[in-house]
Amino acid sequence: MKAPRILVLRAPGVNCDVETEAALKFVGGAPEPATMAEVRAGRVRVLDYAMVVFPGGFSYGDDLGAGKILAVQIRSYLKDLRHLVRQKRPVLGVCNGFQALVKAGLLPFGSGEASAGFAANDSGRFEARWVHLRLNTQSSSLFFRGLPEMIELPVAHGEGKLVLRSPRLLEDLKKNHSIAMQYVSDDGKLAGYPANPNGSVFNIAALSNPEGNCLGLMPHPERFTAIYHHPNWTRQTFFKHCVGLEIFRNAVEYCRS
Amino acid sequence: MSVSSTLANGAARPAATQRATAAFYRVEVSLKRDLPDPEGARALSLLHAAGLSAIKKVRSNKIYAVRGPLTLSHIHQAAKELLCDVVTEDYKILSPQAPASGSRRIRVEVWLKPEVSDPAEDSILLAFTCAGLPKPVSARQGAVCYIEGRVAQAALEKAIGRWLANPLIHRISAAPSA
Amino acid sequence: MKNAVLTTPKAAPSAAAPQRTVQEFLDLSARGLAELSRKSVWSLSEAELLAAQAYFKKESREPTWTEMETVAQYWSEHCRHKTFNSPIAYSDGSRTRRIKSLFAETVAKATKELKKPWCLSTFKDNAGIVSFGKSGKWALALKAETHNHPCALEPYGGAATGLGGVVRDVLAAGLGAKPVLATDVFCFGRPDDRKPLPEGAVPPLRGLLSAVAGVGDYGNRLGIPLAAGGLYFDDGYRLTPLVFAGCAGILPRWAVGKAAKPGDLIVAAGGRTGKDGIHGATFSSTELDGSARAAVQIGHPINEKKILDALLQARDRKLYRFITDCGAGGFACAVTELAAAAGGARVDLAKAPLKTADLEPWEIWLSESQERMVLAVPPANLRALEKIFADSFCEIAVLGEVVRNGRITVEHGGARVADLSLNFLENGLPRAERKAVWKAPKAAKAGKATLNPGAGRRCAEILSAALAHPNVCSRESVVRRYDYEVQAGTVIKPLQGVKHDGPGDACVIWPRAAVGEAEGFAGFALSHGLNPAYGKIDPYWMSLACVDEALRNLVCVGADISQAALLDNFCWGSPDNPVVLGTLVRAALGCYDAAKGFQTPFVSGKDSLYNEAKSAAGKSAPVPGTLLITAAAPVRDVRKSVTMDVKAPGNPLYLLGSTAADLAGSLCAEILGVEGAGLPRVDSKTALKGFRAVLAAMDKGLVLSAHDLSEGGLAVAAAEMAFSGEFGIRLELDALACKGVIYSPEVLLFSESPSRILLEVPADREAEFVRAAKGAPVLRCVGRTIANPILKVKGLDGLSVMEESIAALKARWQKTLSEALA
Repeated sequence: MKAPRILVLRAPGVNCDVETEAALKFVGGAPEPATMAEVRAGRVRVLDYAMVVFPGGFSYGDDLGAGKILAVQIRSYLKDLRHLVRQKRPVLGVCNGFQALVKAGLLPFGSGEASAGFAANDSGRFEARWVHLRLNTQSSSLFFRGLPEMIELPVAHGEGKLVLRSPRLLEDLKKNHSIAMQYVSDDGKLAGYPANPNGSVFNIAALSNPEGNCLGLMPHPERFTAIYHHPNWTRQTFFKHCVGLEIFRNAVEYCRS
Repeated sequence: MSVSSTLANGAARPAATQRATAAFYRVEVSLKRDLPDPEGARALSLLHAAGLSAIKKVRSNKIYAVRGPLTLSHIHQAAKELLCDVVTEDYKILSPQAPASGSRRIRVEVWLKPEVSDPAEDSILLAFTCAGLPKPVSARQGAVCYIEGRVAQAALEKAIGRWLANPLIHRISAAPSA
Repeated sequence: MKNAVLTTPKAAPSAAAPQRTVQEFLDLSARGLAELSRKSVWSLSEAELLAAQAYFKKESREPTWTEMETVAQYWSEHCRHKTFNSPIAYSDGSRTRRIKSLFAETVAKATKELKKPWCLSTFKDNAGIVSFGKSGKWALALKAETHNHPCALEPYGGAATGLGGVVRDVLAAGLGAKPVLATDVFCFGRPDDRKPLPEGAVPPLRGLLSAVAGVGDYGNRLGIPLAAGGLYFDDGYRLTPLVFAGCAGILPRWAVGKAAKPGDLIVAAGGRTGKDGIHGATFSSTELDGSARAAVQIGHPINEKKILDALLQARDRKLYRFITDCGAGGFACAVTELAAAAGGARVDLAKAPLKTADLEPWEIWLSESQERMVLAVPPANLRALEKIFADSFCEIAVLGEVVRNGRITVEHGGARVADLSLNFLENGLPRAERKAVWKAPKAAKAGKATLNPGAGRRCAEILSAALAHPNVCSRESVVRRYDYEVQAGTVIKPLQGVKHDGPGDACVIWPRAAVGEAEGFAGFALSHGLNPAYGKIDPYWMSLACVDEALRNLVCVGADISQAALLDNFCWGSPDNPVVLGTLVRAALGCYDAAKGFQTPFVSGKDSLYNEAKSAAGKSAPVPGTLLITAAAPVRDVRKSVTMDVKAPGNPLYLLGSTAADLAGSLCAEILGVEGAGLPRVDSKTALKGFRAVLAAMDKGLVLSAHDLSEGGLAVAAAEMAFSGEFGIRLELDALACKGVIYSPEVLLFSESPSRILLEVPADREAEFVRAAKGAPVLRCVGRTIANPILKVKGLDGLSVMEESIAALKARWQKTLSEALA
């Protein structure tokens, strides 16, 4: 079967593109890198692709806030993206890509209006660390098939504190199973810093649209595609499941079916 | 791409030297009141390290100075869609006049000196055009701190110069604020 | 977006201005020349000024200002490393040795003599290049730099642009390498220092925080993992902090060589040129006195990222033939370097894209605006190059072309602003002999430790103080501010152990994504060695200790040190002072002996001199002579890498190497406030045998954890292994192999004898381990891991010397820096 074409979109300052493409390749996808300039010029069209990925990084230096300018560009130049989401094709935003999708109003609901935002981590610092996460077992996310409820992934960001526009929105998110991942302690409980590395409301680490084909997450799945990525692989006491790779595999297999 | 040399002091240029369309705006962006301000907390602990232990609270804001062929409604649109995150932040467009005096808070503005290029400028200009707004002639990003507690203005400016900013590259100005 | 790329730069309005000459330069006396040099911040010596005057007499014309600025930049200490390349009369008390070139006779000599075939490019390019991996397809570029002078004035911008500079060096190594690892090492005054400072000086705590933020903000945005580094605190750095930044990059073997051809276009790529940092190269050769012209800037990492993205695509399509970066001296140094390599060049500065229109031609030529590269491009490739750069929103401009006439010709619009013979610039620099004197201090002579034996409780107190010491304590609160895992290649991380917070000895990078190959497990490890405390006593032994430390760190993770490559960074005071220069010579001699002894060549290096500053009392003091050794070596199979945390209870612990009463310059001596005797003296031959034996055992999977013994000796190493692995350790001091008779448990526990590593061995394969490691001259079982979470030490008399909870030890170790930086 032909490998599905996957658009990996880069803007100046995006810097997790290479390992993201590598991860997609490992699971049989055909990633195609493209820059915002090519999209703007009409040389690249999102609807030609089975899936679109916004990798992590610091698009435009995060100079007006994390992912902000990229979000403005998504609104202005990627109008087809919402169409692609409606067609149930997978869209993935990692870290900066997640921040941009939220600010562009594609997550948690594709309303086009930003209902959530991001603030600086409560610690006031950039934080790079592995975190424990609990997946929402009721989520319809196509990315999570076959994954255990408790997983580990690394985060690395300075502006990861998710803030919701209103408390009512939190209830909506719960109802729609849109809270895809939460930061938890090693025994699976909602806990404060450092288990929750940024102070996100309700420990939210990832959001999915209710349909389950658009996922945004602060942790980096592309950094856990071999067991040697895990910080404790030399101790051999952890669950030997490369969660990151499985997330990409689910997406690529979904594209195939 | 040229940077106006008077932008950074936060004062408007005399009208005679401006093109009619080149308006000048300052936009101050603050975190919503119920959100913690880690940047302010960091500044507070450094000012304590500097020996100004009577300072009780520091709140930090961002500030933008934009010059260009922009109307007031343009700048409101830019502030709302570009310069602040409406979920986490508020903004206000500052009047060019000096803020009111005689308050217990001190307001400190920190800007890169005009001769130091601002790495954020290109991004700000780009953002305006992406949002369909007229492209500004120049733009700069600065920081504002509100300081509560008993402290002499001169001592404060000196401590900020040593612990938070750098007089070699920054212009620091403190004034009482409402 | 389209406005971000302008391929037709605007010309500065002053293009028609007549080119000013230095009036009556040819007639000036030596004194007049010196006065002119001082006023113009040229930092040229009398002999150099006279040589320049003689050159222009021969050309029978006055120089232009731009020409004299070019000479000053090109001949600066920063660009030419005059101290390391000039003759020195070195006297060590017993005899005087004439050194023609310190560089050629020490660091470079070792490399030349070792003749390693895997060294692909040493000392001549922007970075050293060694081969990488089994396939023969890849190479690794390595470089470490300093940015001390800018960091003393503006630590945030200085540290950021320092990292930016070293990354560009790697981007300009060969035809360009993809950076896969960045490093930073900081030497600062103690963070709790609140003593009065002179006007304009940055408090050490603020300096450290700003430097960390600067490196983090820049490196994180570039997307290069910051996974190796170090912090060192000493009062000697409170006014003159040292900031090192390093970078390693992967490039295809075919891209190692570069050569421009006549007719190639000279293309500037990246950020625009502004009035930033003019005179950075000459400024770094003058002592900091606060009034020095501020050559400070803040970086623009996204501009550098745009270059990085576009450049590697252009490289793979072979669109250019030569590349160098704009560092100190700006275009003046970069274009002249290109011209010198290619045989000549002509450029028009009016074609350079500018930030502001008001730059004089000489300012364009000298500006050190960040994030710029210079390429030599065959004209036929220009269109393709333009497209790639435009897609990355990165600006390029054709400045001129390569012409093989032996000259560098600089114009602005129609006017000629400089026209110099490259032979004069390259070879005209007069080399004056300097004097260097070395006097061995008394403490350097071996003697008896001044510590008293006995006093059981004291060992626990020393250990507690050692773990809390700023030079030992946890660096976690700094490390986590860096994205050390971007690119998904950091398989051995800087933080290790059960809770991911133990102190790793070296990082291991597996550049699988960067080379785009799913198969293959080849990686490399990188580590550092630095110990200025030894250098205060004897810089020769410091150099050996630094190389030894860097190599044993590599051994601890399982890297193949038979292919270790070294980088040297010397940071010293003014070489005009014979005593300061004497210590520098002695350190360089140590580097030669270390490289030869360990059979590890230096592949690149840099020196930063004139690190001096005036204190609040007005006294000028040089920085402690500081050598940073960076070492990198291949890890043939990253799946065999080893971490430092103990893995299970009941395993025997083996100590490689013997313990002597080495307490001079030690942490223990500092804590007790005594002048310890016995400076650690590395025996490279014995050490190397031991390292190889350990690696042989690791290759068979017979080592579960390994940790190097450095500051704080055996006690600190054992404590760190225990609390990182969350199992206890029992040590028996009578099992230690000693040089001489040592009765004191303090000496046994805290001696800093070099070349020692503590190893955890699987209990069920102990015999196998002993067989595999039989090549080790000294290797003894000194204890065991235990389930009880304590560090327990049994003394020579069989009685307990200490019994401490590892949780309490860890808490002490974690507190210092996290509180200071909170």
